[in-house]
Amino acid sequence: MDLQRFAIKVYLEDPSKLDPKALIPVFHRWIQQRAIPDHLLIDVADYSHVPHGPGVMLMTREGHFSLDNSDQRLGLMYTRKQPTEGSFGERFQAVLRATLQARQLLAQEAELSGGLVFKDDELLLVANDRLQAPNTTESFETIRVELGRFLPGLLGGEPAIVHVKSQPRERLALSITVPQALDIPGLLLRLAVAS
Amino acid sequence: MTTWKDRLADTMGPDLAREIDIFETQIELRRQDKLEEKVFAETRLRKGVYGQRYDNGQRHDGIEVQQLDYRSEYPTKGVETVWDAPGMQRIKMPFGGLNPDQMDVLADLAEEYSDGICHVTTRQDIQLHFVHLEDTPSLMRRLAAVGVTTHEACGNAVRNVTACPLSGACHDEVFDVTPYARAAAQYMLGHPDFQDFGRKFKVSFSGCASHPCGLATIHDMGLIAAIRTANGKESRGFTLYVGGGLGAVPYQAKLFEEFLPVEELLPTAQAIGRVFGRLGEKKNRARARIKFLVDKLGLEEFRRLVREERKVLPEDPRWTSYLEGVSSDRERPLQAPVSRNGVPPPEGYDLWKKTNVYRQKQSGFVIATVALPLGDLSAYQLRNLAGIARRLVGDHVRTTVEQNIVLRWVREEDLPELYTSLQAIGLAQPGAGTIIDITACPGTDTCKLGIASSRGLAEELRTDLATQFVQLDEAVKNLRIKVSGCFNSCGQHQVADIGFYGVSRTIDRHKVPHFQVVLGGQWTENAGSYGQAIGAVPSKRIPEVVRRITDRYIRQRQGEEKFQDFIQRIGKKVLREDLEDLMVVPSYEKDPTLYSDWGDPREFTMSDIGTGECAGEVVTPLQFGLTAAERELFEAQIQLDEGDFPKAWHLGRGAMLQAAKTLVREQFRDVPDEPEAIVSEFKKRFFDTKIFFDKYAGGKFGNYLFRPYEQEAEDFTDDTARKIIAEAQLFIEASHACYARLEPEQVAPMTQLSRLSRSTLRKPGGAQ
Ligand code: SF4
Repeated sequence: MDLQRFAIKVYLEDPSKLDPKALIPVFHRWIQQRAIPDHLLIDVADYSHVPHGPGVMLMTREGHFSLDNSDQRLGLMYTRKQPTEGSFGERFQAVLRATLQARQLLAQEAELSGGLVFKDDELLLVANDRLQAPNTTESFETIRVELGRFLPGLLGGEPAIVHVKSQPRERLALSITVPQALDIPGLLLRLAVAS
Repeated sequence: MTTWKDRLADTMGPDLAREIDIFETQIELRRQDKLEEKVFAETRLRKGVYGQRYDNGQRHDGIEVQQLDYRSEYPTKGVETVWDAPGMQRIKMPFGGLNPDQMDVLADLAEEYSDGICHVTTRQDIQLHFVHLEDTPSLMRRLAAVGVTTHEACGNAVRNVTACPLSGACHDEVFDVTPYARAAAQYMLGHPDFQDFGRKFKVSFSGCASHPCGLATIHDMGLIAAIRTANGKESRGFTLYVGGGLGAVPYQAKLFEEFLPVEELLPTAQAIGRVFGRLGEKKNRARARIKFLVDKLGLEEFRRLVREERKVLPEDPRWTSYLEGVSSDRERPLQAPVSRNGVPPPEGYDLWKKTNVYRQKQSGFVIATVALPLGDLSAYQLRNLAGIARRLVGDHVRTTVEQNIVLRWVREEDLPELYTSLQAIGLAQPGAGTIIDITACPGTDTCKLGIASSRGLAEELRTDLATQFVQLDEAVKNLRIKVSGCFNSCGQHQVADIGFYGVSRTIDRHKVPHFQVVLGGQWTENAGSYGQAIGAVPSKRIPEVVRRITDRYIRQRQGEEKFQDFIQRIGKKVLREDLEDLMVVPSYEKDPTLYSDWGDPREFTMSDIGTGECAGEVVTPLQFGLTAAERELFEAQIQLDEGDFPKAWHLGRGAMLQAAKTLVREQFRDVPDEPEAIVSEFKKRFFDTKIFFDKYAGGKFGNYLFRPYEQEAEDFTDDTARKIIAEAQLFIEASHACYARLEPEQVAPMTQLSRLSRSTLRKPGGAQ
């Protein structure tokens, strides 16, 4: 599995509580503070005027963090653009780590009425490469098998992995759910050890 | 691993495929520092690969200037442009024409290489932002596979040819300009006579004189459809304007020819290209547009030169071959019209229909405008819009200069369904072509030259006005607002009723973002007149400016008085007085909110402005030609390394031919492409005259070219390939030297490639 470009999304528990524009000053402050490790934070892009879009984005050299609403479910999405080292499992864990680091920062943001609440029993994996991973059952199966090698150990249990059905031209998306909310600090520790 | 190059190999013409391969090689050469920065930058721009804000490696974060460490191991990709910094990709869509397959691909590219957003520009292009240079060849191949090129989307070249989005369906048009716009775009693309410009060259086609769709008068070459009747026979032609342009020094285009027969369209354009290429300014970019040349020479003299040039142009069958197909080049609806079924329309439909739907001259069909806030739509929206287009209108989709998309040939009875489908993807905003349909350039969001946030202001005005839209006075509703982030006018603020462009003011050592208020521009009659600035107001107070001006217009309008007439009557002095209190800026301590821009909480600064790439540096066709020869030689070396000796040999020979052709073209522009002709012209002009001779080696290097064209190698071996590559290297060096002797002060510095490859060539068994 040669997939280098993919994205991971974590959903908000109650999107109605958030004005996306509130993220603009937060992201600008993160740039001042160089808040995300191993990322060169470049700028903030505001696409909140586009429904079904990436919303407010924090652009970095390595990838984009966005308050994504393209599937009409608001969540924090990290789209990796630069290649990462290692096997697919290692790459997945690096991208998941960056996603969860940003998620933790948002959850603790005082400026966002004390922080955002995330739905921690679900992840979305989006393959952002139609050449390596077209939106087909075969690609889904390949990725599902790959995930099956390391996810149970990482998440502390067998996750349900489902092919999110969409038009063939949409990107391949996999919904990964676990019966109980993940312990995010614990998971981040495991990811740090693995990296 | 499969690549897009492998996957799409059979889906595009060989020329297009080769062009992209060449660009990929040029990226590699620059990465290895074997291609001059200036040449690579202009090459990249001509492929639509443009710089973006902060790509110089620094950004003010609101407190201090942060150095952005892109960790780039490679040389710059242009002046102060870091290799690894993401940039913008502009994609040319001639006359804004799009089909659903192309829309699908654009959506895919936005997701995979950009930020998930497609942006429609004021020249009917599509732009993607935050794209990495390494991704551009794949991106271009995927576009090429659906018939789209990015070639000459930027740089000193003919930019996207624009045309009315209503062409072929408009009640007021003289005739459908689409086939002519298409032919012109195809003809000028890559044509040698449109390559040697000091700046960009913009062309537009308009179906009539009275409406604004083509904006003829702001163009370098603006064409308005015209019919002439002689001896009872009607013939088609164009009223041709030249030398218009906005920018810091706006010029209204001048009438060049009242009636230019369609047969003369392409040759006249070519003659204009030649005159502009020959006499246009090359050194001072600020005066390099054709408007300055026309101004300097005077219209009469310019016209005379163009007509002289036209007379000596070698006949080209392409000038008229497309005309045979014009009468049949007509769009056909996807489905025949049927009568309405009387189902009640969905909520919001009536208002949308009133502002966004235009009834075509073909009974039963309409054009529906999809209004895009700030010209943006997401990949998801574009893909779904492609699906809607496939279902309802087929290939009849176009972008507009007002940064919208139109669906043409919609059956009237499909409108409610269309509205509902658009609503489902968040694209059913009403108000197309009204005061809430605001045009804005990228400004400080992504443009390296942006001073103020044009998009931030436009979005603020749009949301503010949209809340009152239904109650707005009709006269105000129909006004146009356009915003540019600086005086360069990419937002076309001079032709708006109310225009703004970004400037900065300093108060107690703090910078305050301002917008100059520009009033009285005329949008209709192909941008009939330009507005004038009446004063600068802090950005945050611009919504109040709009309120005051529109309120006064409603209060003091006389009868059906037009906005321009009203501005004229009231006078700019009075209007300025109305705004003067807004121009007074309190200290930072009293009101810091004025010291930051819309949508950006950082304290305002000018320190983020970078070096513009609007036109790139001037690189002469000779420099391009010799660089192309060097690139071909580089490819020869790669083939040699890979052991493909026949290919290496032919590429080495081809590199010499390319260099020879480049020199010949300096004297004989229309040299044919056949090798025999090039070699013979080179011999006659440069060898027999001894112009090419080296002081010490005499004609030796010239013979390197002649021999392999007289007789192919009998055997393609490592030795024969290596020998011809070494000879080609010397031949190219001699070409540089020859040019330097002819034009001492204009000579292009020898590229690193030349220096490096010379040493690489000194291998055992090599010719040296
Ligand atoms: S008008 Fe100025 S800010 Fe706007 S795109 Fe043009 S150069 Fe950039």
